[in-house]
Amino acid sequence: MQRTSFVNRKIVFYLMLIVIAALIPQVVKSRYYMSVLNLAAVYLILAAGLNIYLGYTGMMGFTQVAFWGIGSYASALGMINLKMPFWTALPFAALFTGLIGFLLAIPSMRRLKRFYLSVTTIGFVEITRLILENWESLTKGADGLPGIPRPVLWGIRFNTPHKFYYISLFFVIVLTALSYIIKNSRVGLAMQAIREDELAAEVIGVNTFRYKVLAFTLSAVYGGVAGSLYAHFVGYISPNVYVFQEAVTVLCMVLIGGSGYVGGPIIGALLLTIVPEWLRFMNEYKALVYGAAVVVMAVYMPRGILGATETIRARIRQRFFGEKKASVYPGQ
Amino acid sequence: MEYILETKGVTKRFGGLVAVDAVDFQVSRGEIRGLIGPNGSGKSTLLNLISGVYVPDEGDVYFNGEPITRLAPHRIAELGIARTFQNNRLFLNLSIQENVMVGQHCRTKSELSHALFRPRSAKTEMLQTKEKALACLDFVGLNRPPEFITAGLPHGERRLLEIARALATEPQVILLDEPATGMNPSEKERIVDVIRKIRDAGITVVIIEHNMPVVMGISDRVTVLNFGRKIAEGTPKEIQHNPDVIEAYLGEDDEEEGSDDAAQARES
Repeated sequence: MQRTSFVNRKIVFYLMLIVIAALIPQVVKSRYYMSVLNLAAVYLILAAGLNIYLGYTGMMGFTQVAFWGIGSYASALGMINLKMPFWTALPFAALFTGLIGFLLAIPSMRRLKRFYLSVTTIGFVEITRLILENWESLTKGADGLPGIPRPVLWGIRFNTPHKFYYISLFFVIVLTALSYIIKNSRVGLAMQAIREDELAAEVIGVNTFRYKVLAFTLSAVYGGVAGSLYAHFVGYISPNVYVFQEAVTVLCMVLIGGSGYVGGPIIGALLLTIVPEWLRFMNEYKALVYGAAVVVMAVYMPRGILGATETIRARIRQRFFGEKKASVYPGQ
Repeated sequence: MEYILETKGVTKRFGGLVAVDAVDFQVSRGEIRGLIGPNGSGKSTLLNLISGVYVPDEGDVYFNGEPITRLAPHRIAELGIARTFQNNRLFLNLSIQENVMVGQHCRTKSELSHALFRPRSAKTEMLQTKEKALACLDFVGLNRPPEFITAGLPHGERRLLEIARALATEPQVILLDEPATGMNPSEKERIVDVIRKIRDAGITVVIIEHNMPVVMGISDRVTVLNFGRKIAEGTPKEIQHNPDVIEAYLGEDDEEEGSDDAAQARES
């Protein structure tokens, strides 16, 4: 009895968070800030995808930005050329990107380890950008694709940041829930075992190749969703959005938030999209502050914000949700 | 009679070094087999060849009469050969229960699609996995809260945890690579008890061990390797009086640890 009530409290807590998130457009009137939040959602989904690949499975990669680009173009072209409605274009983009990710993963996961793999993913980012730039008959090249239609649902056109926010929020919730389910499943445990010790995982019966391919493909699917949302939110895409630097930004979001934690990408993405807005007055020093923050984080909080606050959070969870006593965690 | 585990002429070279040289090695069902030899004699390499970590350059490995030479390690684990490592390879940031749960991976089936669309069956299986993990922890006598994060375990308990994780794969054969290294006498006793218990549960044990009292005390038969070749095989008593074995351990003056082992061997 006691336990059920605690479980309910946890659900109530998360529902409250969702309600608060849903009320934000009522409070924030500025279109500009709502745009920032929509972009934060795009980054959040990109980071959540990377988290499955980097945080759960422990592989390094920069492909997220390429998947973002592929997703954007797939969704935009699906709507413009194939006359798909948004609600078909988004799953189409997600599946198409997932397929590309899968095809890329098969040879790379078979052959490559550690930093050879990272370097390959950098190459993939460049190749994707070059294709988007040079396949002019399809992508209109460096000029970019203008006039991407807005989503329409039940007669409502989601043409303002305030309206679009609900679509973004919906996918953030769905994909975060998916991350949570994956992490706590048998498959997620196998992925984490690969992160901790790939050889040991393989030798005690985990098909490491299969789960690395799966993790990579899932991160591509997340990238595809993020790309689709971005394309239809901004309404204009061009190849120079999907550059290597953005991959580093997404990587920093995961690392600063806490890689391997379901909430890590949420904290990281919100922090790294909202805080820079407050630092606008010192625009020319932004990169400096940013770089310094990453260094400080890397030295003092190698497991990100959520990792550093693990003990405190465990105590809070125990107090409010009645979870089992905090695991004894050795200091970093 | 069919052996549960057999190698026929397996050879593994690393560059110019022949780490394992045409070794024929047979293990009968239900025995505890000791595998000894001076440092660098190829014991761990042989274990790696059996568990699929290395593929032999020549020769084949058979499990229950079936060749397993070129199977991926996870397939070999699935067939029923589990192992531990010389230097612990645990999942340090996972809890001790989760470590053992990973061992159950090859005996469970839930895919992501189950977790998403048939949550009830996935949940039932997860609960069974958790219970099984607790049973394995209990079997090796590791009494810690299951949520305990592995990185905090002392050395002796890490070795036990690795054995528990290997047992969770429900093996027919378990390969133990120096399980008693770095343990104090009471911990050694504990691990010997656990190994006997494993054998009594019907699991065949192959154990590499430098500690002579331990290996001579529990093995039914002992195989000795030197420079990658099998130089002797027999009961612990026969091995202790085998002149080739004594020479292998005493013959090299620069092999300090080896001569210690031989001294221990004669004492025991």
